[in-house]
Amino acid sequence: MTMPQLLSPKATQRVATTLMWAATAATVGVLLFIVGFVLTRGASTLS
Amino acid sequence: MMMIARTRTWIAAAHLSDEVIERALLFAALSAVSTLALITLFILREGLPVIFDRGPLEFLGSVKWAPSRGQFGLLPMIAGTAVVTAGALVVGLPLGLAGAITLAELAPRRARQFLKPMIELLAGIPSVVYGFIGMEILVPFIREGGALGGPGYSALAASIILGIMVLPTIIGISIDALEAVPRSYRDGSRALGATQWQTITGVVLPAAKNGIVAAVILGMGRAVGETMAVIMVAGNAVQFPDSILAPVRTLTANIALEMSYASGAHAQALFATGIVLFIVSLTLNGIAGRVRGAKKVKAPRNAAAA
Repeated sequence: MTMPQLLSPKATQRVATTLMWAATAATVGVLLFIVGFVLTRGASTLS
Repeated sequence: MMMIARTRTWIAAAHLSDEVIERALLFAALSAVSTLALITLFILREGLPVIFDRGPLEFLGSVKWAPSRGQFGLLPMIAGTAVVTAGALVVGLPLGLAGAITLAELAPRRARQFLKPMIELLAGIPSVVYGFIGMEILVPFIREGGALGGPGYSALAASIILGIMVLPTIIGISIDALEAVPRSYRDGSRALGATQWQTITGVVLPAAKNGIVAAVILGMGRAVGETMAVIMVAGNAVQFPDSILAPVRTLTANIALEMSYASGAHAQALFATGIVLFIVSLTLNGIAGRVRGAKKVKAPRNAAAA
C-alpha cells in the first residue's frame, strides 16, 4: 500500500528546490552577517 | 670516454640526491608520527593515574567536580559536550545537507563557483570571532529578545554557534560525496521520468550516503573539539544540563578554564579529561574514515537492460 501524496511530483520539486535555496541563502547570510558585523564594529573603532 | 665518465658522475649524483630526499621525507614522516605518539604517551602517563586512583566508574559517572575537595566526576562535562554536540547537529545538519544538495545538484555552475568558496570561507573565521558574535548577539537575544528566559549563556547558544561552525565541514565533504555519484545514475533516473528532486532523494542521496554520514561524523568531531567559542557562550557552570537554556561546561572548556592554575591530582584529572576527549575524537574520526572508505553499493550491470 502506498501513501497518498500531498503534492504532485512537480509541486514537490518546486517546494523542495525553494527550501534548499532558502537554506543555502541562510548559510551565506550568516557568513555575510558575521563579516559585516565585525567590519562595521571594528572599522568604526579603528577610525 | 670523457663523456661517459661525466654521464656516470651525473647519474651517481642524481641517485645520491634521490636518496637524500627519500631519507629526508622518511625523517619528516617519522617525526610527525613520533610527535603524535609522544603526545599520546604524555597524556596517558599524566591522566591514567587519577582514573585508576578514583576508579573509571567514579571518574566518568560521578556528577561532582570539586577539585579543592578532591572530587573529579566528569559526568556533567560529558553530558554538556553531548548536549551541545547534538544541538549543533540539529542546527547544522539540515542547513549543511541542504547547502550541499543545492551546490552539488541544483545550482548553476556560476552560482556554485561563487557560493562554494564563500561557504568555505566560514571555516576560515577564527572561533573567537564566532564566540564574540555569540556573546554580542545570540546570548542577549536568548536572554531578552527571544523571551526564552535564562541567563542566555547556555547550551542553546553554544549549539547554535557550533551548528554554524560545523557547516563548512558538513557542506564540503557532502558536496564531494554527491559529486562522486556517477552522472549515469542521474541520467538513468531522469530517463525513467523521475523529477530532479525524485532523482536526488531516490538515487543520488542513497548512493552518496557513506560520504554524507562521514561528513556528519566529522562535523560532530569538530563540535566536540571546539573550545574557544563554546567557552564564550556556554556559561561553563559545572552542572548536569537539565534544560537547553541552562549553562553547561564541555570537556574542552573544562581543560581550558582550569589548566592555568591546576596542580597535583587536579592537573592529572584535567589530563584524564584530555584522554576522554582524545578517545571520543579518535573514535569519531575512525568511524568517519571507515564509513567513508566503505565499499559503495554498485549498480547492477544489467540495470540498463532491465
